[in-house]
Amino acid sequence: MISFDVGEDLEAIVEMVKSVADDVIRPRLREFEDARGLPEDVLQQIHELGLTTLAAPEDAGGQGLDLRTACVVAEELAAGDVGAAVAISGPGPAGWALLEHGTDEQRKRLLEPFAADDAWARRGALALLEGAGGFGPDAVGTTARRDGDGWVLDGKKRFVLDGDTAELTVVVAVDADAPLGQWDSLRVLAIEGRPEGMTASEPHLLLGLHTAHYCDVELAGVRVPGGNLLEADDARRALGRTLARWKLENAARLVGCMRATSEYAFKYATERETFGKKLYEHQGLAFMMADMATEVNGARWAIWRAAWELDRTADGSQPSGGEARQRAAIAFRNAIDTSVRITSDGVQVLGGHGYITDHPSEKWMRDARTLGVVNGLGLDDDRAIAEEVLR
Amino acid sequence: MIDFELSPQQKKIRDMVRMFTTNFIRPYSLRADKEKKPPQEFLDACAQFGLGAGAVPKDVGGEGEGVGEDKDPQGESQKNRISIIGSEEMAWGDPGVVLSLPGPGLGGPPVQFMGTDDQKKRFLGIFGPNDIKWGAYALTEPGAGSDAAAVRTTCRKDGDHWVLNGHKFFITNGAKAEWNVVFATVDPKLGRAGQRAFVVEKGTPGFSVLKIEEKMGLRASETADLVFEDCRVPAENLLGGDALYDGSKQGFRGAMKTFDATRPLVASMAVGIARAAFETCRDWVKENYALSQHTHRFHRIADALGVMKREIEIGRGLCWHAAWLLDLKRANSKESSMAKAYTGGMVQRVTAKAIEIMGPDGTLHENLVEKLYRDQKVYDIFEGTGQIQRVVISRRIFSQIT
Repeated sequence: MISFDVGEDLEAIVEMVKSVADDVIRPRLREFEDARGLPEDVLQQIHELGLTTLAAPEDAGGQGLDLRTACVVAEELAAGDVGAAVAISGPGPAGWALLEHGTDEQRKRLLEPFAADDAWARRGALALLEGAGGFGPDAVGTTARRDGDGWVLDGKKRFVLDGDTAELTVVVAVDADAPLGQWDSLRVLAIEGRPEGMTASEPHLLLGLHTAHYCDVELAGVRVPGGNLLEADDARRALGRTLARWKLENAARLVGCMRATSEYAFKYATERETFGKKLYEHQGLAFMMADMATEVNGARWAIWRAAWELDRTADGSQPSGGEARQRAAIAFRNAIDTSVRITSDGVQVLGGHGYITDHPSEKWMRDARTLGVVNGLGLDDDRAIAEEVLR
Repeated sequence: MIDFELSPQQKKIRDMVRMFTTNFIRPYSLRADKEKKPPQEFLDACAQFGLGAGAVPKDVGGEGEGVGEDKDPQGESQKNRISIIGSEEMAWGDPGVVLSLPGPGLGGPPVQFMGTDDQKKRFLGIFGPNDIKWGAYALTEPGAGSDAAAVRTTCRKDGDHWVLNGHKFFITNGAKAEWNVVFATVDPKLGRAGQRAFVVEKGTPGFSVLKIEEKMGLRASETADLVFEDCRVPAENLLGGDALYDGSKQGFRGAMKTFDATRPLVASMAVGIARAAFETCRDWVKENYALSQHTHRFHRIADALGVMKREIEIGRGLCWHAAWLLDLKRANSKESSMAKAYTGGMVQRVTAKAIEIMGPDGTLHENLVEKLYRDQKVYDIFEGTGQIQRVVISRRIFSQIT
C-alpha cells in the first residue's frame, strides 16, 4: 500500500537523531572540518544511541533495522552536517557487504565487535575502487590468490573511506586463477585488523568532506584466512545489491545536505532585506527556492522507493535484482545531480555571504559535489538505467 | 511504514484502466487528434464498461463502483491514490481523450466539497455508470486565468434567482456539459470574499456557447468559450447555499480546495504522457539501433533515456506523495503544487528529448511523440501555470517560517 508514513518506531529514532544533528553537530561543524574528524565525545554519543549498528543483525549485537530506516536516519544526520554524517564510525559499507555476502557465522563474528560498548571508534571499510572510477568485473585488478587454506591479496585500492583506520576491510578482488572480466571471478574477502602488507596513504585532501578520511590502500601479499571469504550464490546480484545499499545511504546523505542548505537559505531569506523587501519577497528568489524544496522532496521519495524495493527483495525472492539495482541507480544519480544544483543555489540565495566561511553554505556546496563522486559510482548509472529499459 | 506496494484494489484498477486504454484509447489516438473529438469507439466502451460515474461516490447517488470510498488495508481512504494511478494510465493512452472521459470531471470536486447534500444528489446523481454525460468547471476568464481572484463575471440576487453576466474561457467540455460549475462575484472590489460558485445547467436562459477553440494539442478535447447574458440561475444552484458565504472567503477557498485534489491528478497525467513518449522512443531505439549498439551515438542515446526514466520516476513520486497526504486528510497544497510544477517541466523535457532521439522521424505526424509534444505543453499551464505553483510553494514555505 502506497504510504510515506515512517511509522512510530522510526519517528522516535528520527526525533533522537534530529536532536543530535541540531544540537551536537550543527553548532560544531567547522570545528570538525578543521580537525578532519569527529571528536571522541560525539563518536561516543552516536555509538551509545546505537546509530553505528542500526542495520547489523540482532544476533551480532545490532538492531537489525532495514534499509529504509538507515536512509531516513542518514538523511536526518546529514541535515545537521553531511561531513559529520559520513565520518561516523561503525561497520559502514563493510556492513552492507556482509548483509549480501557470507554466512550467518561470518556476519556474527565480523560485526559483533562493532556493537561492544567501547567500540565507539571502530570502523569498517569497503575497498572497491581502482583506477579512475566506475565498478564492474573489468575494473578490478587487485588479485586474490589461493594459498593453502587462505588467500593472498595484492593490489591497490583507491578512495577507501576510513581506509586508514578500519578494523574490518572488505576487499573486492579477482581470483588469480579465474578468467578476467567475469562477475563469477570476483572474490569478496574480509580483512580483520591491520595485517602485515596492508598500508594506507594519508587521508586525501579533497574538495569537500574534510571530516571524512578517504585513503588509498595498498595490499602487498596480505594474507586472509579462508574463513573470511564472503561467498554469494549470485555474485552480480550480491555485489549489485551491496552497492545499491551504499548508494542509497549516500543519496540519503545528499538529500540531508540539500535540505540543510535549503532550510538555511530559506531562513536567511526571511531575515535579509534588499530594495526595501525581504529576500523571499523577490519572486526571482522565491521561485528558485520553491524549486529547491520540490527537488529535495522528489529526491527523497526516489530513495525511499528504491530502499523499499531492496528491503522487500532482501530475502532473495527476486533473483535477478535488476529492478532494485535500477531503482537505486535512479535515486543515486538523481540525488547527485540535484544536490550539486541545490547546494549551489543555497550559496546563491546568500549572495556574497554564501561564499565566505561565516556561513556553512559554501561547505555544503563542496561536500555535496565530493560525496556525489568520491565513491566512484554514479557516472555509469544513467547507462545502467537505460540498459535495464532497453533489455 | 514506508511502502510502495499497490493495494489489491489499486492493482485491479490499474490493470483494468490499462486494459481499457490499450484497447479503446491508444488505437484511436492519432485519429481523435485529426477529427478533434473523442473517438466513438471510446465513448461506446465507456458506456459499455460503466465508466460514466467512476468518480461519483455511492453516498451521493453515484451508481458506479464508487471506487474512491473503499478503504485501504489501514482503514484510510485510498480515493486519491487510486485516481492518480488511473489518470496516469489514461493519459498514457491519450492526453486529449482522457479529458473527454464521461462524468462530472473537474466539476465534481467543487460540488463535493462545497455542495449541500441535496445539491450533491441533484448534480452528481445524474451520472449513471452507463451514461455518456459530462460536468465542467468554469473559473477561467479572458482576464482571469491563474489569478482566480480576478474573476469579473458578476452575479446578482434577484428574487429566487441569481443573475449572471460574464464570459468564461478555455472551459474543458463546457459546451457539451450537463452543467458547469461557474465562479462569479457579487462585487469585484470584495476580491475573494465576493466570489460565489453556481451550478449552471445546460439550457439555462442566457447561457450560450460562443465558440470552440482551435488548439496546438489536446485536439480531441473540447475547449469552449461560454457566455452568460442575464443568465438566470435558480437560487438552489448556489453551491453550499447562502450560509456558506457569510463573511468568509468560502467561494474562493472552494476553488482552491479543488486544486488540492486536481493538481496531483493533472500532474500524474503529465507523468503518463511522459511515459508514453519514453516508451515510444525506447521501442523505436530498440528497433533502429539493434545493430549499432557500440556507437557513440547509441551510448549518448542510452544516457538520455536514463535521464528521462529518472525524471519520470521523480515526478511520479511527487504525485503519489501529494495524493497520499490528501487521502489521509492532511494539508497538501504545497505538495500538490510541487507535483504539478515538477511534472509540467518534466513532461516538456522528456517529450522534447524523445523527439530529438528519434530525429526527423520524431516530428512526423504519424508518430505519437509529435502529438504528445503538442499535447503536453498545456500541462504546465492549466490547473495553474508552473509559475503559479511556485508562488503557492514559496508562500507555504515562508508562511511556515515567518
